[in-house]
Amino acid sequence: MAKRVFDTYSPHEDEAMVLFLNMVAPGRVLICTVKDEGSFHLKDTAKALLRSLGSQAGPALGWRDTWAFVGRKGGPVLGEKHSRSPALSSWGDPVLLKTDVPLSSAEEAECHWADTELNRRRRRFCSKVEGYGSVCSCKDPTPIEFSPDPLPDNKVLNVPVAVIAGNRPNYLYRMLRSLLSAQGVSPQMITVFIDGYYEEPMDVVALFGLRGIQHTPISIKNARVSQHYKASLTATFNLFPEARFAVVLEEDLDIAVDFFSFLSQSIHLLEEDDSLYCISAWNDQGYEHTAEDPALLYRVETMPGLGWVLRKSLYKEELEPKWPTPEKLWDWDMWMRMPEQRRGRECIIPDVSRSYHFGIVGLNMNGYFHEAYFKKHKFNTVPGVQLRNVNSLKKEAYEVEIHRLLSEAEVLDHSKNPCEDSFLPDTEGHTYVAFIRMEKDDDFTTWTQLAKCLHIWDLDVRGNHRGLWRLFRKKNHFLVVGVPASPYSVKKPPSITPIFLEPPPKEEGAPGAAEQT
Amino acid sequence: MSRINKNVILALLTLTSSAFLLFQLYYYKHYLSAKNGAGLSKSKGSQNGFDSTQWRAVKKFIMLTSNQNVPVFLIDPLILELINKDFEQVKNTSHGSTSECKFFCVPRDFTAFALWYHLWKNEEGWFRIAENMGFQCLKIESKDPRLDGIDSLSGTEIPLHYICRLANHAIHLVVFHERNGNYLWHGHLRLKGHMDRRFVPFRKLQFGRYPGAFDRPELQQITVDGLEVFIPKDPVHFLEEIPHSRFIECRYKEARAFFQQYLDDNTVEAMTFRKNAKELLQLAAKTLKKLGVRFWLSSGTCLGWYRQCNIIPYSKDVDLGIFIQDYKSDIISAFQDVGLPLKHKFGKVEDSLELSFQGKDDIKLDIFFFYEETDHMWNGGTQAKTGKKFKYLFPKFTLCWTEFVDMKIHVPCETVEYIEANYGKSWKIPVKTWDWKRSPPNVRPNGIWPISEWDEVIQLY
Repeated sequence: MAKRVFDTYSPHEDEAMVLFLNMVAPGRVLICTVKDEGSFHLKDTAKALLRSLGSQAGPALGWRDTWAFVGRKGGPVLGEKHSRSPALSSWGDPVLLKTDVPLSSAEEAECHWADTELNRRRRRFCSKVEGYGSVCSCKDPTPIEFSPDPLPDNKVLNVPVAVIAGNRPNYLYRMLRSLLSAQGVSPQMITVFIDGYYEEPMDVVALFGLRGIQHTPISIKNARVSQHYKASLTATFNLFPEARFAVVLEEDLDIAVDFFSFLSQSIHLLEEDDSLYCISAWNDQGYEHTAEDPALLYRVETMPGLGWVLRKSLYKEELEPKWPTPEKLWDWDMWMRMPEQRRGRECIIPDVSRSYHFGIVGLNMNGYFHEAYFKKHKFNTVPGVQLRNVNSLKKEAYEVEIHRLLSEAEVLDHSKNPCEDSFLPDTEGHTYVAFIRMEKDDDFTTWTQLAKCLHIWDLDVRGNHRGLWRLFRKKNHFLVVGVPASPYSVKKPPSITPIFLEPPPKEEGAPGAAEQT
Repeated sequence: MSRINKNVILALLTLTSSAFLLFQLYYYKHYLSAKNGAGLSKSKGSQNGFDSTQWRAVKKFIMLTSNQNVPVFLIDPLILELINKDFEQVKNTSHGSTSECKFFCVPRDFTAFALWYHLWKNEEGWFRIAENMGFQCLKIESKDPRLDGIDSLSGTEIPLHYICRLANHAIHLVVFHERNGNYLWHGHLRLKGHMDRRFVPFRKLQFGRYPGAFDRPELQQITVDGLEVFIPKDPVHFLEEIPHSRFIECRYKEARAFFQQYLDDNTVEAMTFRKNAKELLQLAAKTLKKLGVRFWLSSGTCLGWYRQCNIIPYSKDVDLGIFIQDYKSDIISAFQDVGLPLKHKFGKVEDSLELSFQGKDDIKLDIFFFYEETDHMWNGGTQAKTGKKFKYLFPKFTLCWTEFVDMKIHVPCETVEYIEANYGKSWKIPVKTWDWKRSPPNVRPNGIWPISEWDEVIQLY
């Protein structure tokens, strides 16, 4: 069963409706009706589909008409009523449709899959929901159990995984598929927390045989999300009292096949180094043109989220007692990034992200935002990557590594425009360094302009480590040092003038800072 | 004449048939229960051989659990006692060389096992396989109490008990869940409406009358009557825990209602106090546990648990209660050794003993010793300046386990009576100024210490 609303008064909704109707299993009873106005952006493809369902009035739907339709997917129309609106400013008369729907027996309606526990789950799922394509196909059902390779010496075998979910069951479905296909996953450690008593996400969770917990929503907007996170994290540590860490994921992420392998190799850092705040799978600056090396890790002064590991002691002792209360309309992740919470600690991130953010619809998301900042994010698809030199990510060892890199780096020609591709020579595998102006610790004027022209994250400052940014350009490692604020400014040759990029003069109202998901 | 006769005969017939019906009903009920009772105690008459129904049921159960990788260990008090008595003999017995069935054949209705839930990987198919093996199983499940403490979370129910019947014996599988505070918890065995109350003699179950809490036991594997089972490494300790294992949940729903009405204090001072009080409580608990001294949450700390499931931020100290018969003279030095020096000592072991230790950041740890009378309990108080004595009266109480600030800790089972004695019926209303000499409704003046004793009964540091 499924219930969908397609606002075909607005553009592109009819395409979504066509997609959905195409995924409905044949034989299902379809009941359609119009609320307010449904014809304005009901285009030809959609009309043709309605015609193929046997509808007469659907393809001919007019402005503010009323319409009710009962039919069978692939079968006969069972009833239809239509009333035209007499004038532009009024609606059609109400229609009342009464019809008899002959039901088919369970044997006819259901598929005859083999009687296994998995197929029993499949049957329960398919008898309730629609729109998941080949999961419910009679002849060739998509597998719902995955046997990824086991991970030898899996250090995160007993780390609970909290999936924070809302009401986007199709996203959750996609996410769980990728999560359960990751090497080294422990399904019994996964708990999906749903913010509200929504049935369909719970059905998806049950399909995969996972644990699902529903949370009574508290407060509104971003405060609701932050209360949901708090309840989910507290519950995770309650259900797994022996765990020292928890992995936090959201429903709109694809999970890399080596996600757990990445964590297994790096988690000891979170254990041993108190100057670390988290380990995250997401590199804010890791776009297709700026990330290269899946074996490389960085330390950064931000908390990226989007697939990360939380230390239990940090949560229980510091964050949970002062978590924002329900009336504070704050983003939980912005709150976590504040200096009062982060207290100068850093996160470990990979150069190539181990999660991909695919969500287009959400509280803080829209199509444009996704297109601009998330679509071209680089995502690792190579299994079993061996991370290089993991212990050099510890506090002192990292400084040694940075100094080594800066000593070896070739200084670029600072008279050229850093935004141009020609700023770097046409080489591969080299290391280059550029110096930009950074008057004080919080002066990010030049960096922000550089980030903007390089088409990486520029909405706030991410990815820096003591005034140093690391990325790749044209497959060369590119280091950016902020002078004189960064302690690495000492590496600047005296002859070089740090680059200064002027922000464009403010025109008709600068855009406000958008929030990350 | 004949008319009267007819009526009389009719009345007589009706009477006798009703009497007969009633008799049938009564006897039928009696007959059934006798049959069940007789059935289950049929084993009483059987020989101590390996053909007894109990031994066979246990053997089948062990086969089932090892095949299906269900992590169980034996917790049956009757069997554990017997094993404990003959421990040396059991340890030295190798697999297969038993001549006589000495433990599992003992006549009884149930054999209790514990299931370590978080180690159980393959829950789904188990039930079906158990039934295929001939067991008739009953599953008792309920909401997960570990989710109760947080806003409102509801997940799928968790299994609490399984009762699997085979022929005339039943295995009681108690499901243990791990909780914060490093303990194992099992739930209350409550039959839902549709369940058959005659399935097994539920009243004879050793576990499940209340929810229970146990220390996580280390296990050892032994062979008993030819069967390999896991039992607690220290069976004596486990057996001692059983009669004192009753657990009560914190009243999360009421706590949430309390915070709706009286907003929680989220200032830095409050948070710091809570953090320090929690650390002090954990340190005290560890120290007392090492000494083997039982204690419970008292006064303001108990009120905090009962009313809001948390430490009251404006309370100035942590209050504990100890029965005077549990007093040990090395309590003072033990606390000193962990960095909690004695701040004051009032009274003496024979009368109104009270100890106070200094924690960090000006928090005190107050220990009140409770004295038992025929029909009530009391603890004493002393006013240092005047030597006046006070008595605080409480109705008698027993101790239950609960979970408080990530710890397993004791509170009085009869909590509301305890709280009301100390704070009166208006305990729901927060009061920030509390005068221990006058505010409690259960305080009574109790005379005055003679000056000659002051050196002993009033010691300030």
